[in-house]
Amino acid sequence: MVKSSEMNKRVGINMRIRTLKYWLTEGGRGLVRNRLMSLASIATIGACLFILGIAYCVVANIDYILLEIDETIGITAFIKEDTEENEIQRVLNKLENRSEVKSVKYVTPEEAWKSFKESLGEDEALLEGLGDDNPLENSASFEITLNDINKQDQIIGYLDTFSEIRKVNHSKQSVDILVSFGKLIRYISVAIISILIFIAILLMNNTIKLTVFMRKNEINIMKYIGATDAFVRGPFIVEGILIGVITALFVTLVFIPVFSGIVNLIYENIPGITNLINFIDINSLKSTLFALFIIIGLGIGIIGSKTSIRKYLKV
Amino acid sequence: MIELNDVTKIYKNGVIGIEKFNLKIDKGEFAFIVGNSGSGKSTLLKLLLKELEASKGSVKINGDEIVGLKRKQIPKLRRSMGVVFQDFRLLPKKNIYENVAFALEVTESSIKDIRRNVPVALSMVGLAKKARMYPDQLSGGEQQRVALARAIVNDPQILIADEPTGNLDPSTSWEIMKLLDDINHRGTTVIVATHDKEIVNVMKRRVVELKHGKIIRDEQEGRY
Repeated sequence: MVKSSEMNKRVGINMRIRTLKYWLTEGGRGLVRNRLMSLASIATIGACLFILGIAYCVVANIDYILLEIDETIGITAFIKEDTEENEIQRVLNKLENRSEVKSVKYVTPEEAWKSFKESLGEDEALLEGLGDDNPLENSASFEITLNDINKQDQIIGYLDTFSEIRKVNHSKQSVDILVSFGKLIRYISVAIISILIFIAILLMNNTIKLTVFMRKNEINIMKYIGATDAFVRGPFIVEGILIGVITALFVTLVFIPVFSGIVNLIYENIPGITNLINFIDINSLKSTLFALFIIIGLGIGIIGSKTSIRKYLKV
Repeated sequence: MIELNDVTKIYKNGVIGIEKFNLKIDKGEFAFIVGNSGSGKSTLLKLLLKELEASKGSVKINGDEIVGLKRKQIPKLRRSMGVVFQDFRLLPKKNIYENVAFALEVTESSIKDIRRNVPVALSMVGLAKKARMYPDQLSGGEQQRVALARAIVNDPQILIADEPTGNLDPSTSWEIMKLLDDINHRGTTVIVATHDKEIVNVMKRRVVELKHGKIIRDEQEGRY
């Protein structure tokens, strides 16, 4: 008894493997047989994935730029004149212990003056009349950068509690604008991505519908002979998967050079832009993009073929 | 074997397919279903094949109720039946052997079974020598014989033929009827829906005549 049930199991597995083989060969054949339609769907879905990739890169870049700005935009807290050195050290320590604070730098008046002169560059000559006087004598300050730009208000409130600090400079408005701009772009991108996925599924649906339609007699016969739905569906799902994977590979191969080309073009044509923004290195996004393309390509392939064959299975 | 009790099928558009229908066909029987178009012949066959669901009543095949049968269980039901159509429905891109083997492939039979059963079925219909030819190289009668081989290759208990001679000339029709008769003599229940008066009259088998979805005549050794 045991032996025969084991044998049945083995026969069952063999049959599964044969079924899988049948699906793969039939799916592959379907792809080749309808090569024009296959190419059309690879092209259209490819275009969708491409735009999707751009939307994703825009979001990734905005995140990256915001992060960089987070790091550079800081708060400057000016220290009252005649504050003792040890008092300054005490405030510095307290600030450094705050979780939202990334770094605190104590800037002496001399350092402030030096960096101001340097920022003028060639125009430094303008300041010659000042001689050795330091107009920024009262400008000892803390330069504070934050881990999270949204916590700016909290830290400003905290700074106000110190009597040693006479003035706090911050760029509240520009930060708010940047943050909400980033959010807006992200919402728009998500909307664009959803619409594109929807369109791609429709396109896929049409392609597979056509293949299914051309083979509806075959499906009909299969159903009458007693084929299960899964058996009939298999080759079409394989076809969808193949289209999805081919498209994803193709788009990844084309996308990365094109995107780095665009970034280089921007760098070359707008000199000095690197002072303002740096684009994220596309190579660091490579694997994420490929995974994104594969997952969406596969999803579109599978959902598209499943929905388009449903009607013909009802025999 | 096949038992319909008080079966009614009303289509979505309100048309009545069959109404309060009672029919019993025993194991090993041979029955003609006759009647004009719209008499309910197709509805009856589709109910047996579970292509349609009865609106009311009970349909039993081999003792199992198939009204309300789950979708998943339909393939198993159909594997116990063979079907032949007026238009043959062969796959043009597969050769004769492959067309017959296809019936076993879709039911996931073993390669051993396929190699053993396909030649037997082909020689039964007299086409063993044409196994490597394609459907468009065969005559209509030969194509229908291939369809018959495909229908019987998995040794079904019931064979349903829907106008099997509808597209064939009289002499070829006789070949097909002889094959159906042979298959019946091997113990398979055969149900044939037909318009062919001459065949029905000569065969002298059970005749069930339908009109407006009801049985108006049921005779053993009947005429058209």
